[in-house]
Amino acid sequence: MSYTSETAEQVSSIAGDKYKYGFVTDIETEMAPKGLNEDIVRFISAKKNEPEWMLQWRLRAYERWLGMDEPVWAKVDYPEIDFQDAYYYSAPKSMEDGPQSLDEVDPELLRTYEKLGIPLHEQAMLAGVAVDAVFDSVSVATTFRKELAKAGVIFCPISEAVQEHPELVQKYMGSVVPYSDNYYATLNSAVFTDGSFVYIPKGVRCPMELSTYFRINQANTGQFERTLIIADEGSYVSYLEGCTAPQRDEHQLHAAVVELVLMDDAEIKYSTVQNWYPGDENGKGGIYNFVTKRAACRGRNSKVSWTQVETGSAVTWKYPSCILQGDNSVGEFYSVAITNNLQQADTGTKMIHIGENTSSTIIAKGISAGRSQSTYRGLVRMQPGAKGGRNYTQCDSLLIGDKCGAHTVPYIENRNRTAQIEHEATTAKISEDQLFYCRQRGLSDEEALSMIVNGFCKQVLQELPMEFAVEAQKLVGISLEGSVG
Amino acid sequence: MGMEAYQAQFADHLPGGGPAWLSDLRQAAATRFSSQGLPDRKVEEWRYTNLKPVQAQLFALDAVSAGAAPPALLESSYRLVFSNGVLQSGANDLPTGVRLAGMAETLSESPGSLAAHMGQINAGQDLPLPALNQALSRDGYILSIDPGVMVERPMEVLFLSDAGTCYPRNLVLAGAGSEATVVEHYLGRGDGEYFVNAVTEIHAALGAKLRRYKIQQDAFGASHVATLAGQLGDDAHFENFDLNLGGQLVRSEIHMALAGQGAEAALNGVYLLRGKQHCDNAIQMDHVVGATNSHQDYRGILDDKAHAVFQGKITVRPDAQGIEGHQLNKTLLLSDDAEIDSKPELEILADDVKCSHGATAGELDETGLFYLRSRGIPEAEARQLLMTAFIAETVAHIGHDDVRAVMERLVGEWMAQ
Repeated sequence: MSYTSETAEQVSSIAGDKYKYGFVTDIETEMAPKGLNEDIVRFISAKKNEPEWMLQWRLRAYERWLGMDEPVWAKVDYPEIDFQDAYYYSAPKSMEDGPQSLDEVDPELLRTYEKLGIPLHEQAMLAGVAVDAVFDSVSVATTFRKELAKAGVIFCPISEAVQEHPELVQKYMGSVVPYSDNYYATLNSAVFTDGSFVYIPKGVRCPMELSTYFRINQANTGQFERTLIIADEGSYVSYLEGCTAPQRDEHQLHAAVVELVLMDDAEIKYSTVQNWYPGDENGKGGIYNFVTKRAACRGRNSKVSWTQVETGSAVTWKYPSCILQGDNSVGEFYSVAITNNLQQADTGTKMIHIGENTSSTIIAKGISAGRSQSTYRGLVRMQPGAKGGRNYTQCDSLLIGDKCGAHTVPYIENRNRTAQIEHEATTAKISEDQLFYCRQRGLSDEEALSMIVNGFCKQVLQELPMEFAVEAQKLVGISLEGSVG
Repeated sequence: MGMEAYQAQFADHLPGGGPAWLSDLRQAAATRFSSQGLPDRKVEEWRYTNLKPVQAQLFALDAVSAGAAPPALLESSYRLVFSNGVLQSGANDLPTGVRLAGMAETLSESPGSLAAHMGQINAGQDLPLPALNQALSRDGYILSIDPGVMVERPMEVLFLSDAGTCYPRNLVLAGAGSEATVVEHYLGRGDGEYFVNAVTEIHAALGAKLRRYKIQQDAFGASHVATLAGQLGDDAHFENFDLNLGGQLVRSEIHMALAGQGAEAALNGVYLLRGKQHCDNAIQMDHVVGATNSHQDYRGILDDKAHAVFQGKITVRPDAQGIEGHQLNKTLLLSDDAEIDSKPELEILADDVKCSHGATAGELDETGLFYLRSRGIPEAEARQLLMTAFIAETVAHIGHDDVRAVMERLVGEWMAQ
């Protein structure tokens, strides 16, 4: 095949730089003692100055978690996680007194975000994206808040929402993903440290795109953020999420929970570019990304759209889901999952059709290279009441090289005669003809590969907001470097 | 009654009384089943099917004879008849190079003859139900075709049941370059709540062409579980068709290993269910080596409170390059209480593959119905036409003309009910 030794050399020489977010920021941090016990849960709660109900909720979750087993059904393989060998709270020290404005934020931190390309300085922002940045365990800066407040939009760290909007948090937190939901969501409920909170009032179209950037910096820390977005009647919001972490030799755990609540005629567009450190080519290091994301379409005519580009993490376990409860509600899932080297991804979605005339679309593209394993796992369920329900699912897998694997595990359950479900899946390798065609026109192996794969993913990438789409297209190229064979 | 008491009851009848290899096999299987028990719904492969109702039936005593056999389905077939699991009448005038006989009979004639093949296909055999069959089987059919022999007339094996338990253990050995067609017909009498647990092992050697069809018309009170384990050698072609019409609780499992280059398997089936019937088709298509092809097409129609399950998995092993594997599952729902659960799965560990699966579930196409009605065809008739056409696409895959005609007739009878 066409794998030339030059390509191999070139690739190995840049292997070290491939993950450009692999730097570590030297910053003084305050950490909770290592390990996990009830005191740590109380410590986190106290640090956040939380009301009693929040602490009790955490403790119930912790109690529950102790009696749960780690799920083993996913097609991923990793050594047992020692939950006592990690820090559950880590905060930049200079945050202790709380910055009043961006000027007071540790300049080192700001430089980190600059390196990541996150425009924290409001004046430097042309894109018009409001950003909440979460560093290790705490939210360090939220931009454009005043602007948003004028429209009535609440966009703040969730720890702040617990203080300032307890009625909203108490009403909705855990209403979509209960604290007892699953092993990782329960763990998150006990020890979550921060995350974003968004409330879009009735009839408001959020004037700008909201964005959260997650960064794990400290060694041996787990990151457990929790995001809650409530879209009230007739509102609309587009929310972006990005994540990176330093290059470290040990694995780090990231177990997030995202809850979306949609009332009548509301719409949420949730986009993720997940680029946690994937580990090196021998599978050393990398993030374990065990995430629970779920949207509840409670209102009539509500619509939720999940778009994800998953290129990072050593192990991904993630199934953004839609509960289509309101009549005529719509759920969409667009996903690109790229695995290379020894990465493993088990990802997909669940569409639970409860209301009448609910519809869902699933477009999932999996690309496996190197010695990686990629699995699409999805559920489409039409409940007896889902009269006129409609689902269309397409999952395609592309294999690059003969040492990787691509798997498809869909569950299709229909309990309503009038509901229609269609599912298609294909698996094939990248076509030699296409590669040859591109090379013949002067493209290098890697350019050709990147172009073909981008074409394969186009249906999904075009769903991303523009700034993200550009980043995602570049990521697709970078993630597959060195895999033409 | 427990397993030991059951075994003791039939110790004299068990064909394995003689050869030590068989009693070893039987004992190992009994131990395996006892340690595992019946799978519950926590086992992934059983998440949609509850075997609890079967538990009480496992060791029921066999009844005597299920009565006289009805006429054969196929004219000019070689025919074996089993009554409540025990051979009643054998086949006559078989061509040279072909053996079609009872398992018990074969073992008493030449005790060592089946040692090399029985229970030798690993896939699926260590599971609880085949293990139970191995432990308790008293009879079954043996079909062996010598290399190069082509049998023109089809073979028909009738399993007639009305009570107790039926544990047939069947073995098909298709020699190199041989060609044959065999139909397994499971037929119930009355409303018996009996239990059938059948295992058929298929060994197809180099270039063999084998067609195996199964018609399941067990009584509506019966539970029917069946396992087909096949191993295909180089260039072997295997065609299977499963027609499920009967039974209250039905599970049909197929474990097919495409173990030789150029091997090809087509596994198709139809399920037509009413009342509270439950039918679960579980298929494991294993592309062990490269240059192998597979096709699956399963369709069904569900009325009343019927529940169907389809779990089809295509596995492509590492380095098994040059594979084509396709799978399709389509179900029509006629009632608000019917349910279909479909899980078409792909597990691909090589890259030079073309694999696909598709699944659909829903009601009859309204525009098609409108089209027919607008041309003066009454609604009931139009529905029946569309349903027949829907099923006919799968039945059309059947390579043997006479068998296809029989299947078409049976499907037509179901539609007319």
